Amino acid sequence: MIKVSHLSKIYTNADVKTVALDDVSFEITQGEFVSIMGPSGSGKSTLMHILGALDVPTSGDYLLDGQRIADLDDDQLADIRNKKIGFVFQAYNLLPRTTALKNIMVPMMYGGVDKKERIKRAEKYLKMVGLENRIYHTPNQLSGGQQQRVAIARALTMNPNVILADEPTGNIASSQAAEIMRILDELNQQGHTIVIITHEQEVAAYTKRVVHLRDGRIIDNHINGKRRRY
Amino acid sequence: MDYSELISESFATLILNKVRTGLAMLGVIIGIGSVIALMSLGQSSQKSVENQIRSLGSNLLTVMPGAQNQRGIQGAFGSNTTLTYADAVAIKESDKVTTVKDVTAEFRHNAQVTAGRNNANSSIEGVTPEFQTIRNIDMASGSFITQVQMNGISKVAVLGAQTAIDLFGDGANPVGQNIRIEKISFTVVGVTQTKGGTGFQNPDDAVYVPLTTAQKILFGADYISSIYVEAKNEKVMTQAQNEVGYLLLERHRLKDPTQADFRIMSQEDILGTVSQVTGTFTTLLAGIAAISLVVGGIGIMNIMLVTVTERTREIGLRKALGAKKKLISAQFLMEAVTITFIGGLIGVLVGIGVSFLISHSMGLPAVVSIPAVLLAFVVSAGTGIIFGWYPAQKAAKLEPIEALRYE
Repeated sequence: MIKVSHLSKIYTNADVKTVALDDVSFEITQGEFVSIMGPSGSGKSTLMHILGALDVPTSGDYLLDGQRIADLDDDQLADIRNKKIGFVFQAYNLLPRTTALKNIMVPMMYGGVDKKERIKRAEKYLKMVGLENRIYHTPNQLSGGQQQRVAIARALTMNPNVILADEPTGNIASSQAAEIMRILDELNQQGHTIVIITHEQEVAAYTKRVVHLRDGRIIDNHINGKRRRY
Repeated sequence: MDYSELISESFATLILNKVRTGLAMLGVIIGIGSVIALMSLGQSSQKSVENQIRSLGSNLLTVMPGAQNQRGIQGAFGSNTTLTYADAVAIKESDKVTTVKDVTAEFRHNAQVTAGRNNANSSIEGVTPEFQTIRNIDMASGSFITQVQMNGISKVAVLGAQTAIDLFGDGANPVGQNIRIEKISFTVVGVTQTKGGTGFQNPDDAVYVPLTTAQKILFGADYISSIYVEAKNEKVMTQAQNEVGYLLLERHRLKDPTQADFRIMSQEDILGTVSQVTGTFTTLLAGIAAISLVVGGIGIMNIMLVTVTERTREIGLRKALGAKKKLISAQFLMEAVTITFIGGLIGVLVGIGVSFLISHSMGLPAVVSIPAVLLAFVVSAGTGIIFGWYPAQKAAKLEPIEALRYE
């Protein structure tokens, strides 16, 4: 479903070239639970942006669901992000001073989902992440873990092909981090494809496969045999 | 996402920043409010002057002395002293003038008038008895100047409604009492009914005396200030104007109209001139007010630019969640237009309120300038679009990753 071949990304800033990704190739199939690991500066954020159709590679191909992302214009990319990808960010990125319900409905608003259907789906996914009692809470009334759960619910509403989670537990107290990982694992069991970008060994331990990045190259890509369960 | 959602989204965002929204709106409120107030006031003063002129009747011609021109030195308009009472009589009696119904002459001069301890500076108008019918003067008490008083050079006076109040107080009956004009004693024989008027020639603030008395006893002049000619009907106005003109040229021994030492104006001419002057004045006022609207618009642009910078992360997020460029720019544009439109609405109400207050306190007819109101709505929405466009484009062009990274 995700097929990346010979992907390179080179940033040029005042004639200084920085290679963020160097000939990266891998595949992720439907239903996988993958973590992309690496220290800071390894290129994992760049990879995440390219996978999320937020950025384009300098060379190489990225096919999502058989679609070559490099061929698309801005509006088509917006559509891909809306319908095929669910983002979970490290900083949650919820709209401030806006209720959990409204936050969850934003992608459906852009995706042209009928208003009644929006509320129905929003309530369903809030319940799934265990926040059915926090529907009208605004982000500053929620804990970090709760905010991230709202963000996960938001990522699910358009029924995307893949959920991209960028350091999903990075800003969360460790007691709540396990809950986030449990929810992601549960979603994977329901058939969702999940890709987590992280530098934490503990987080990667939950996933079924680990891809190690260093200096923009894949140095290891293995099935996680000793998978940790919550 | 449809328009109603766009509007409700921008409302929600604007309400989150009440103070900022209010201040941005204030610029538009003041701008639109002052445009409406000033245009309405301009129109109401114009209407007041027009009413005054129209009340004199549409078949009236005014003959005024031209500018004096002595040895190439151009004097002020109306400074010539060649127009006489004999001219007025000739217009009435000549066989060559067939379209004129009645004629009156007037000598006008300002002077101090006293009654007991009270005094007023009024326009002293030496007139003939025909003045009453030609200028539509109604009497509140007593009678107007008569032919007998005119012939007898009598020291009698008719007071304008306002002058009567100034000299004798409200409610008193001055008829039979004495006043002094230029230290000469006059008997009051009548008081006119109020005509209501403002400006330079207020018919209520006048003292009417016989023309002969004004010329011979008060001011020692043999010329007159104007001749009023009433044509038989409106259709013969042009003919009357020509007949009177050629008669006066002949009497003044002038060969052709370019040498005329007088001017003949119909009420329409006067109306046109006055309308032009007040119209220019109104436009000038509105222009000044429009500057404040532009300043208000720049204020909105400023605030929208700050908003875009402040909400960079939000814009990045919205793009990551699938918002297209057009939607982002529409959202910010809608916010700007909402500010200006609501501001414009309040501004129109404030402007109408202010113009009503001022016209009421100045005794002017209250006029709400409908074109100004409509224009204000278009302009206020337009201001939002013009000054909101650049910030909206700036927001739409943000790259999603750059915006998401922004701290």
